[in-house]
Amino acid sequence: MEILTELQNILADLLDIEAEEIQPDTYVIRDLEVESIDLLELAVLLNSKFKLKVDDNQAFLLEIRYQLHRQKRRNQLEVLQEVYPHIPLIRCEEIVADLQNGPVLKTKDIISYLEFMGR
Amino acid sequence: MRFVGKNLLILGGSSALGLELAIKAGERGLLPLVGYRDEESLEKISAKLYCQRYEAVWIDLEKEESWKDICEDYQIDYLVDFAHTDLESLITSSSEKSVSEYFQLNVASRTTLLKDVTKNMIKNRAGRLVYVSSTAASRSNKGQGFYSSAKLAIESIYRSLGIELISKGISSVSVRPGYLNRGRGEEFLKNNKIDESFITSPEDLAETILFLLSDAAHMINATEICMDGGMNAQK
Repeated sequence: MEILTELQNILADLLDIEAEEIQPDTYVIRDLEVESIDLLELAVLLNSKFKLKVDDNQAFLLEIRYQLHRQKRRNQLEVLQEVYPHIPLIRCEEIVADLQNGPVLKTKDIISYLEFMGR
Repeated sequence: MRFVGKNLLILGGSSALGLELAIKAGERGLLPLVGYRDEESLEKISAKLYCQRYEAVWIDLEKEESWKDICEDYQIDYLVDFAHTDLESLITSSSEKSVSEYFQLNVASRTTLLKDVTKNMIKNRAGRLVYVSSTAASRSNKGQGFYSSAKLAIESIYRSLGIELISKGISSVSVRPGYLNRGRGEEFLKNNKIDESFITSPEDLAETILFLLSDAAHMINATEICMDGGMNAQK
């Protein structure tokens, strides 16, 4: 089954919402109102489903602002590509433009992580 | 007492208290996963528990791989934490290196272990954590400053876990025994006269812990319970 479909099923079950509400460009925190405790459980479920050791910080971009602040003298795109190698450049550009609007994590970022780790 | 779960992980399992709990838990149908750190601890466990069903599991707070294996091999329903090392020293004469290592081991490493154990419990959306603290957390003797502060820090971590994870079916409680007539306490009691009504035994403590693990105690969460016969309530 495609990763998006698996992720939709997991999130729908976890959050008690319809799977159709979860699309690649859905904001996980802004739109779905996922809390940190839900992300903890999501990591456990992804571990189990995909047989991967999910790194919460990487998969959910938990420390993105800290990473950018820590290396604030460097170009933000460079920092993101280095810290999150699973995120394509075009998405890194979107993230940089979107930072001021709130939590940036989208469903497609988790999919990118799962694909990257599953290689 | 009824228990919805089965597998009980005991940290510091080779201690007198841990072994007593393992015996009583086995009698109640639980499967004790008795933690040991080295050969000597394993021998103590084998000598005491040979008559019952249990599993000895290697756990060393200094070695993360030890509990990662356990979290992969077992579904943990209950955790009882007796593990603690000693650092008896006046604050003003302590060594920075010893203090740093002491808190790294007893607080930071323990937190990493608890993260992995609670993630294991989240899979089942159920779990119970009992931390065996001490009345020294609130009232300590000279030389117990680091022991006391570590116990307080760990109590706070357990309390926070109970607050953060209750929505996922995981709860926690700390119990503060007073003077114990076994283990570290035994030597102290030989040299100090303490009113008998303030002294507890591993058997009493084990029964209290089992109650706290049982289904009946599920609403006791994110708190500390004093078990000292009322000693600290007095002026």
